[in-house]
Amino acid sequence: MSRRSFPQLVLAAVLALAPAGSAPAMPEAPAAGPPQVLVAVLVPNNALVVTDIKFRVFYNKSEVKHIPLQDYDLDANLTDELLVALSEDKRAAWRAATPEEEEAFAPYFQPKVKTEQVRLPESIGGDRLLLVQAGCDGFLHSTQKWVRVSATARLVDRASGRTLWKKSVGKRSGLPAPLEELQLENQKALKELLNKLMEQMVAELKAEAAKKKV
Amino acid sequence: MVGAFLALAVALGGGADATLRVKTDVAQVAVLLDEQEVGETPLTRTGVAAGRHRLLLLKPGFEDHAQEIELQPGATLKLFIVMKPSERPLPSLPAEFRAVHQHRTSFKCEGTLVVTEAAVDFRSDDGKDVFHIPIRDIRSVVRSMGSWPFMTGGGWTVPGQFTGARIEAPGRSYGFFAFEGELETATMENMSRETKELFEILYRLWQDSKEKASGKAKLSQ
Repeated sequence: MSRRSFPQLVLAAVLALAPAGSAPAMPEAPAAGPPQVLVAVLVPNNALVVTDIKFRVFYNKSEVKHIPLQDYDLDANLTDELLVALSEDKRAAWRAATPEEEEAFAPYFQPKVKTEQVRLPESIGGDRLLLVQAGCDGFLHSTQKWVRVSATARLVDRASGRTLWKKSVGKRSGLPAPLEELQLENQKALKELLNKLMEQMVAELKAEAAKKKV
Repeated sequence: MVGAFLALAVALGGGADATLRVKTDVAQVAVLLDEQEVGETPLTRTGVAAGRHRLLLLKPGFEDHAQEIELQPGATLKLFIVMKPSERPLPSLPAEFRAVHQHRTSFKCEGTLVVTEAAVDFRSDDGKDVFHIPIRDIRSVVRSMGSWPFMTGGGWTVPGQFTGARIEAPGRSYGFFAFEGELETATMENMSRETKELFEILYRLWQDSKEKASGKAKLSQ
């Protein structure tokens, strides 16, 4: 390389690179954020519904007991548990539905209503709706005694009303003590058991939701 | 250089924070951590310094729940507390309490405390300590936990978990504990119960006052 050609080479390199470096950037489409999912929980019956089957000599007697869960806000606890768990799924931005939004979602929870038929007010935001209906039940029999927390979750597309997926989950546990004893001290042991089952159920729902599209 | 800086940040507590998650059976229970209100249940609080803390859960109509907790660095402590409904209804207003006003010195300032919807009035028995605190001026109402400075000087023995009621007003702070009957014969249970009752009334009035101030006042029940 001659002495004279070196500056020329540098100049040529600069000129060759300049157009590429200074080319006006193509206008980019606005970055679409993750879809916003509104989480709405419905607990129709804030009670433990227990089916009690007792053996008699000539027949079996069955009765259904509704044990009210005093002061236990299942709705608020489940909503919070879901949001904490689902917020780890970064594919979407999850938030709890406001009381007004939950009111608008009421038709979704009615039986035999197709989600496509529900028309939401324009004021309702969000891209998807995660509708969760939950409850607690139990079974008392001489051979087995258990309580269960279960829920059915549906992810609905806000725009089309189409149900994207639906999943039922539940966790149950044997009774560590007679139901009457679990209800002592403001149902302390019973509530602690239900809370534990709720946490397990939400973990299962989170794992199921992770497998499905948002 | 950068590594040393990061190590220093971690050493100073950047990596020593913990997460506290508090749930209660009944929702919207006020959560106080080391005497500071941090929110309502269900609550998840990140960035809490690891170590021992005092947790206090308060809800009108329920017994308060006090607990010592220990947070491990980088870990999450999950608590589910079943609140115990209060069996004794709060007295209606105006409510009168026999109370001791907390002073930094060791003398006992014993007197009568009257709480109305508008103000808190205290008058010591010797008439030397008299004050009037409008409810709207109250900045905070907290449980003051631990031993009482004035009592240690007076030779009283107070368990660490005994709590008094403390009012913060602009430029002023007042601590009380209430009792029933004669102070000399009042038992610890007596003082704890009366002080809690005083605290609940003050706390409720303060909350109502805050709601009114923010335009969210609800019709009184």
